[in-house]
Amino acid sequence: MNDDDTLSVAGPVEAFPWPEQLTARVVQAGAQPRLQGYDVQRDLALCYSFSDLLALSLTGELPSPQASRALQAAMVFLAPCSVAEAPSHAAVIARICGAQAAGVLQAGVITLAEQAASLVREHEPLRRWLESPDSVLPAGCEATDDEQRTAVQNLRVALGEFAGQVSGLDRDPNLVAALLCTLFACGLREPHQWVSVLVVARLPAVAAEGFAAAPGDFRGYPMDLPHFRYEEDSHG
Amino acid sequence: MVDDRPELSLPTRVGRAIAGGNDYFGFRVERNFTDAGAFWRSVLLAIGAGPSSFEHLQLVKRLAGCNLVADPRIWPLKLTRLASSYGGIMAGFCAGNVFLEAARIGPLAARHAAEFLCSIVGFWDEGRGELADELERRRVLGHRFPGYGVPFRAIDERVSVIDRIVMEEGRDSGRYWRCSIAVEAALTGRRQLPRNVVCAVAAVLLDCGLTPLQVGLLMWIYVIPAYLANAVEGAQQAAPVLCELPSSCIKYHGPPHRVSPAMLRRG
Repeated sequence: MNDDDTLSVAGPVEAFPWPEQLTARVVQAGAQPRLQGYDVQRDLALCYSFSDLLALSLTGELPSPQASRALQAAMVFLAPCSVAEAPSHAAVIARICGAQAAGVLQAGVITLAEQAASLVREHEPLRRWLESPDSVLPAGCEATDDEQRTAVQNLRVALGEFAGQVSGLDRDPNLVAALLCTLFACGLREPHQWVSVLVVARLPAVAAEGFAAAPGDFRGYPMDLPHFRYEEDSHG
Repeated sequence: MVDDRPELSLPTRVGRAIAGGNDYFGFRVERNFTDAGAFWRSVLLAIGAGPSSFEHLQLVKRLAGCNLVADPRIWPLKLTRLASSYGGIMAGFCAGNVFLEAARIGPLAARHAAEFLCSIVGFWDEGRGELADELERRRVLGHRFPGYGVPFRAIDERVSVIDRIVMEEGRDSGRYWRCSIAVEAALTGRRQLPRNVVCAVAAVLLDCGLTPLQVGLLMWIYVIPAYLANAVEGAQQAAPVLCELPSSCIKYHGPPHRVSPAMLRRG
């Protein structure tokens, strides 16, 4: 192809002055990488937990020691994603179908992100309420039975003194609402931050359920659960 | 043994495996989906358009080729390349598509163009003056006009191809088609906002009786070859430059170097 040919096929991409570099805004790569400006190997690795790193990554700031412990506790409370739930169930099916590590995680993570986004959308009224809390929690956020109240009490114990800083915790919330209130108090206040924490916190259980299934164990999987009832609109 | 508790049972119209064959939306696959048009009929059923949409099959098939934009520099296709750069075709294909449902660009954005045309066509029915007034009202309110405007170039070259197909297929008298052209004329009086391919496809498919969601989904089907092609070539190349760009291609605009409070306390 000569120069004339090149000119004749120049398209819209060539016609615009694009940047020549990709902008890094969080991680500075290199032999001593930095995250949000902090030295990963000689600072963060020595002084902070993984949940601190998550908060730092998402907010740009390290949490206080109290918020750090609260976030860690909240993430542990969020972790159990049982095989009854779609993300773990999806990971199990991928594994049974013979998926390797990446495939199990890909199936699980996509479903997990959908689950997290759905839950966060559902709790958008709570997030708005937390921005200026008044007396009554938004509908659907209250505990409806003693099991939920016990779970929230367990969270209070795990949070320790930090529980007093969590808006909404004294309004009889259910566990999910209480955990989202805790994330908010830890400085994670935006929907994308909530979705990210939910995915990271629940991924270990999703992965573990997936990898615990046996590749090729089709006969051991309840194929007709739930049962799909074919409703025929017969065309022949 | 089927558990007959209602909460453990879901209705489906999609498909059923039966002894000796398969049903698909009420059609026996072996009898109805073995001819050359089977793929596109199965697509129309998949998006919920129903068998009545089959009468538009010829037009639906012709529109497919107009949307084949496969340049790997286009954002979702670049993403496909990135995710396939470790050798996985399906990973690339899925990553390039999984985020499209709520994205501002990409084939599913055709849904927004279709919704816009649905929202404006009643004013077009009333007359050009009413249409112009409504468009001006929306412009003042800061509304966008999905399907109008062509990034980085004066016109969308694909629209003229669709114009020709619409004429050849005798569909140029369609309500949405004529409305889409009238909107272009009204908008262009103020500034250049020509129809783009999304608008043209949306108008044609709305005239075929498809809903905005179905328009978006069919538009996505049209561009699947572009995603697939980039996933296949991307996986075959497994290009190191996509796995990681050279450091010279990156500039850092993040927080300055700092020392953590805990490290400061440790001294």
